[in-house]
Amino acid sequence: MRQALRLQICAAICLLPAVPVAGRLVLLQVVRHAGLQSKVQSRTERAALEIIPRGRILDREGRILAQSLPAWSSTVDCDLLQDPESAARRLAGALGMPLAVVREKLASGRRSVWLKRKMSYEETARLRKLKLPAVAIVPDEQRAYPNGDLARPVLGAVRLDGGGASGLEFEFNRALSGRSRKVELTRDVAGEPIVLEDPAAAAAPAPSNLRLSLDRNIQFFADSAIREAVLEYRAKRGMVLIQDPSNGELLAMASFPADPMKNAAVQDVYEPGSTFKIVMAAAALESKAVAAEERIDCENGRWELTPSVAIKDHEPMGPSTLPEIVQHSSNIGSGKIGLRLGPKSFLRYCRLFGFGYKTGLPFPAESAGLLEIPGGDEGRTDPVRLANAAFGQGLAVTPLQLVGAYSAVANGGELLEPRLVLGLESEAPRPPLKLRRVFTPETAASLKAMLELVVQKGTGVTAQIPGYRVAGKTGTAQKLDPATGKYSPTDYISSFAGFAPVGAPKFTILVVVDSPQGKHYGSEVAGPVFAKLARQMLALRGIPPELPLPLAPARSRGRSVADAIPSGAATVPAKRKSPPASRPSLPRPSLLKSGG
Amino acid sequence: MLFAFLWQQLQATRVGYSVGKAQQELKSQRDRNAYLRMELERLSSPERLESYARERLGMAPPTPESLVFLGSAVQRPDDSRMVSLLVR
Repeated sequence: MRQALRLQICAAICLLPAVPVAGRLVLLQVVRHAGLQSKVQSRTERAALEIIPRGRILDREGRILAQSLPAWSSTVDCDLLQDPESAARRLAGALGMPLAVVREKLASGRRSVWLKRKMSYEETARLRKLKLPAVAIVPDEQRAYPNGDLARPVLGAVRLDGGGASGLEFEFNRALSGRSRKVELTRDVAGEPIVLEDPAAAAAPAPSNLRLSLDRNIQFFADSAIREAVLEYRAKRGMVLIQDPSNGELLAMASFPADPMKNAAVQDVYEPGSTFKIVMAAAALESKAVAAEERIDCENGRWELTPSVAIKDHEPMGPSTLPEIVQHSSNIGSGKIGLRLGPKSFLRYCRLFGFGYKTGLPFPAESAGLLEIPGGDEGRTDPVRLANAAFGQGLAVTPLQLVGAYSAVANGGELLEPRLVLGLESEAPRPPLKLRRVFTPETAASLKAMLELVVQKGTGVTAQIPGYRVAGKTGTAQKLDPATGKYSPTDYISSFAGFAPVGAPKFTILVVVDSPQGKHYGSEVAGPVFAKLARQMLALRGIPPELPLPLAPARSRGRSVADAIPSGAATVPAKRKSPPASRPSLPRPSLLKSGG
Repeated sequence: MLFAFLWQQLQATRVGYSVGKAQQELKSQRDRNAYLRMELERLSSPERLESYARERLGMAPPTPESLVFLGSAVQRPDDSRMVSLLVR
């Protein structure tokens, strides 16, 4: 009995220390539970800001044109700074900022100030090493363009807050937009995260990348060529567009000076001048207003349309056929054909080519151009305006519209939707869209022949490329002087539009140089730029020559190899699909002679 | 039973730590990768390549004339006669 009592006392003594512990437990776990719980949570569960970066912009081959990089911004809490002077010195050193600027920021009087936005990886690392408690580092992002100024007017710019400000960055802001989101994290005392849930469920959604039809290399050629031309001729500006005439895809869209806020090739208009004669010629052929062999009197270079208005030609000509008028770019002949077509028919063809309307390219602030002949739609004829319009004066087009018109000639008469954006990378590519047939393939063939003649022996000889058939048209438009309201005698817009190889056109190129000084004819200024770009394209794409190379007799030029060979010749396949002869070789010069 | 439960909790926390570390590592490596990819694109941009090839390596851009095109025989290897020629 005594023994049992002793045991109980012993047990009670042993358990005595547990009583305050239990009491404390009850106090903490039951009485003060809610307050302590929230205190703990505020320490361990911190929401971290995670940045999902803005999507990339890629060229047609997937090469990066614009990319967002992780960056960091830093703020400083001035109330927490103990020694502002030494902190300023250390911060200035770490961030590579002038000491005075940092000092000024710290002394601004506000409690929290941005120290530096969009810091690079290295700067952030240096800042972290300083271990200043007053400095907070928050994730941010920075838009980077690895190719420098390449295609910048097309790509556009983003604002400091990351939203698109111009160009494609603006147009596709929604699709490209990165987001930031809050992620709940459990952290230990030292701030190290402890992951207690399935990380796959919390995986960040990927941003969508935008794929363009532009080719980085071709864009580079275009950018360099137009920059050189503008600088050489001290011109105001210049534009280059390169389009694939088979599907409407734009391979290059360049303008100089390169301004990320403005894309002149889409947003600016200009008077096209003689390059617009293609519309007059197409309308004349389609409506059969001019017979094949008909000669139109070109008045030997001067034609008084009204007593006060005379139209002049650069090269005086007598009675000429339509191809000759195009070849020598006769304004008088074009004007006469324009008058014969009448305003209604002429305007109809202009609109069929898409002039006067936006192309619908997904790009902000596209211009529709200016296509207006007073009373033209009611059939009233203002002869001066109509004749002028027939050779491309008194109306305004965008470079995008004009390159589309030449692509229509190149592909046999179909106007295609111009494409700059192939789509989001995640989506299936959309097939090219044919807008409408502008003219018949027969008309296209005649137009091609005319344009080829221009390059062979007309105004476009500077665009010749040995071994290849090139078609194109020069343009030298007088510019309206805004001060006087009259055409300037010194400022011109020189342009060249064309395509190659004529047998199977692979690219259409438009070169526009605004107000070149010294020389001003399209043939002198824009023609050589076209030839340079076309040669680069031919080499880049590895397009084989259509004609025997310069060693061959000169008179076979302007004719394809197949045309020049008699069809019965033994070593030459009669049809494309038949098997090649046993000794495949290029045709010998003797065969070419017999064919010519 | 209690010990088994505690042991499991401890292990979960321990693994959670390493997952957190790994995720941080992944993030920083991804950031680094983005920077390096950018550097790669910048170094292989046509502007830099062209000046490098021209000035340092003395190269010149090819012209259409400098390309040599092989005859139709090579372009059409499916032709049976060509194949037999090649086999011989």
